[in-house]
Amino acid sequence: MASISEKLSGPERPLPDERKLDVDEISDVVIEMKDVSFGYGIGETVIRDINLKIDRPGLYCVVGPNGVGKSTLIKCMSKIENLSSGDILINGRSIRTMRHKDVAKFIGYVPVVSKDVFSMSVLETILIGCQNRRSGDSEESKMKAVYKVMVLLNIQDLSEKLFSELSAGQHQKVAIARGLVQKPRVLILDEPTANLDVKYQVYVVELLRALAESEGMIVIMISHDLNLSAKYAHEVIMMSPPGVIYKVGPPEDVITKENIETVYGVHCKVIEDDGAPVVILGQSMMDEFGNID
Amino acid sequence: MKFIEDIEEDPLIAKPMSRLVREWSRTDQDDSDGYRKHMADYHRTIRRRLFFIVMCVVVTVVAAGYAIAYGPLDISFADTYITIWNHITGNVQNAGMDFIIVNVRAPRIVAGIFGGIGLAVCGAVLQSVLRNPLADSYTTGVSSGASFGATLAITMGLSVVNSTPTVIMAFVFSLLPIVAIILLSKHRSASSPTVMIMFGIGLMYIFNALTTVFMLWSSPEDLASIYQWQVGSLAKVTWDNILYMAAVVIVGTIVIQILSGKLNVLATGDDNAKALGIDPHRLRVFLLAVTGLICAGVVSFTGVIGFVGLVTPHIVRIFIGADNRYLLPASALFGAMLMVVCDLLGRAVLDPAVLPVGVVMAFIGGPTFIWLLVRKGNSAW
Ligand SMILES: Nc1ncnc2c1ncn2[C@@H]1O[C@H](COP(=O)(O)OP(=O)(O)O)[C@@H](O)[C@H]1O
Ligand SMILES: [Mg+2]
Repeated sequence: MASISEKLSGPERPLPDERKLDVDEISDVVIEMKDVSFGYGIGETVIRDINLKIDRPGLYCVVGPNGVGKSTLIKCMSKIENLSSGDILINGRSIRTMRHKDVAKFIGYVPVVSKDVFSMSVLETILIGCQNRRSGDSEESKMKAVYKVMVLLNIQDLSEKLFSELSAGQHQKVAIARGLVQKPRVLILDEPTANLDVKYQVYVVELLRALAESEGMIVIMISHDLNLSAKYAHEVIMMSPPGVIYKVGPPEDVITKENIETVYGVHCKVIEDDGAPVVILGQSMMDEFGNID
Repeated sequence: MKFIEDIEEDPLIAKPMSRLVREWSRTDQDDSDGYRKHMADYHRTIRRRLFFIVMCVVVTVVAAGYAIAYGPLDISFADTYITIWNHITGNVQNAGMDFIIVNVRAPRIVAGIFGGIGLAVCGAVLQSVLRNPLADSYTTGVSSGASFGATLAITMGLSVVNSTPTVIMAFVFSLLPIVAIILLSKHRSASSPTVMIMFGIGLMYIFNALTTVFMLWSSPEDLASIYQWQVGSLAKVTWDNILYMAAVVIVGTIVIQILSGKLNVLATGDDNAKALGIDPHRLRVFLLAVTGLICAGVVSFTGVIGFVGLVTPHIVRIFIGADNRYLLPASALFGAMLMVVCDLLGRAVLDPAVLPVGVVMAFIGGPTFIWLLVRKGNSAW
């Protein structure tokens, strides 16, 4: 708890009035990334000098161009990749000293949906998420938790279907259910709205926002949709090459014309709708040879 | 103003959504009718799986009786079981019959049962661990390693088929590919399941080439022994052999069954496994080591028996799904059944000629498998 009181005295990020959080609204898990760098190969750096403190519940959207290291960033947070340098503190404890099991107690990670080689039923697929539940938990209470989360996502009628037989929207629901079944305090999702039509896109972000607000969870998602992020996120984390965090803050501070033109290299116009920025894209910034990078 | 009260006022969230989330967050337990129906469905699925497993046991036991009864000297099905019962209870009545059944015929059948269990479990585990439907003892190089070891022993004149040196050489060489795969996987770039299996296939070709070279140099008699070893046979397994084989298979299968829940997690990918609190690399290496031992423990006594390891898990998945907690025991028993039935057919159909069990399995199982695949589509994987 020491880390929380420390946090209270720390500098506060300004929030716009209508979204202002109560001061004691500090999440019960605090994630702090300190000078984090990571690369997949030796001598290679994909993300660098990442300093980020997430200590409030809310929906955080990570945006940035393809290949900038968004997935890598959230994999480091979930200890799926081991840091090259720097450290990540989860409630003050270094992620380097934690086992996968310890991290899994705080953080639920939902990877990009991919088809498994051998497909199990929806129910069994979600049951896998119970892997790390308290060992004393009975089969019965696991099944109840699975059922509850299926009701939350309205997929209880699919429970006997094979995962491979579902639509993209249903896949995503099952993946989220698997991440949620242990009731993690932090939920991290890699592109949960990719491949979804607008109905499911809105459904997913609404759900994630509701989880953050009603449960006080930290929900971190990667998205390529700037407008969706601008509208639903409490905070936006914008990354730019070469794998650094360019801006963090409420959408209206981050989703701006200058930032988008700098980071993405696309001309645009940003207007305001209901307090949230809306991006209208223009021409790409090609050089005379047609290069966009 | 707190978040928790905000949700009702948040214009971005539909009312039913906030109700659902609130309802979910209240408790993760449930006793509604919906839950009871859901549990009833689930239990029905489990009963169906258990039924499948029980059926495999029944067919195996019945077929084993026929298989023991079948032979040059006619023994009735009932007499077979009575004699075995009497032998177990230490109350032997017909010493001649007892000798034929217990010492001459039974070892072959029991070897078939343990061989089937071992090879089928190995196939199922390897397929999940390496996330590849083609993984089995061939594509990991285990069978080729064993073949080479046996060939070496035979051509160097160390033994005739199935005597101890052949078994030991086959065992040692069949473990080499798995050890190599495990050592290789220490390199980050080579630790993916796909690389592991491609490495196994590479080793398979190397061992096969070596075996061929030794066969070119060997005498006709040796060649016959080597050939017999390569198609596999249950004929020469003795009770002494079975003791080792059964010990390895039983212990290995139990260990793997205990890990079957974790294996489910591993089968969904390394990232998922880590996120759910499992070290995928350690689990994979451990499971590879155990399957390598089981597989080596079987093939070094029986020779290389194909088909059962690769195809049994696929057939079983069609019937009961891919959940390893059920797939592993069901595959084990289905594999045992397949071995006993096919060995019996191999002796009965072209009597007095005997077809090797692997060949019969391929003849019967192959078309059946293809038919199941076509009929069921590929939705199971
Ligand atoms: N498993 C991997 N091995 C090697 N390089 C990788 C791997 N995953 C991603 N990369 C590289 O790291 C960089 C960042 O990738 P990623 O984090 O997936 O980007 P994003 O999610 O922002 O599109 C890319 O240049 C990509 O090529
Ligand atoms: Mg990505």
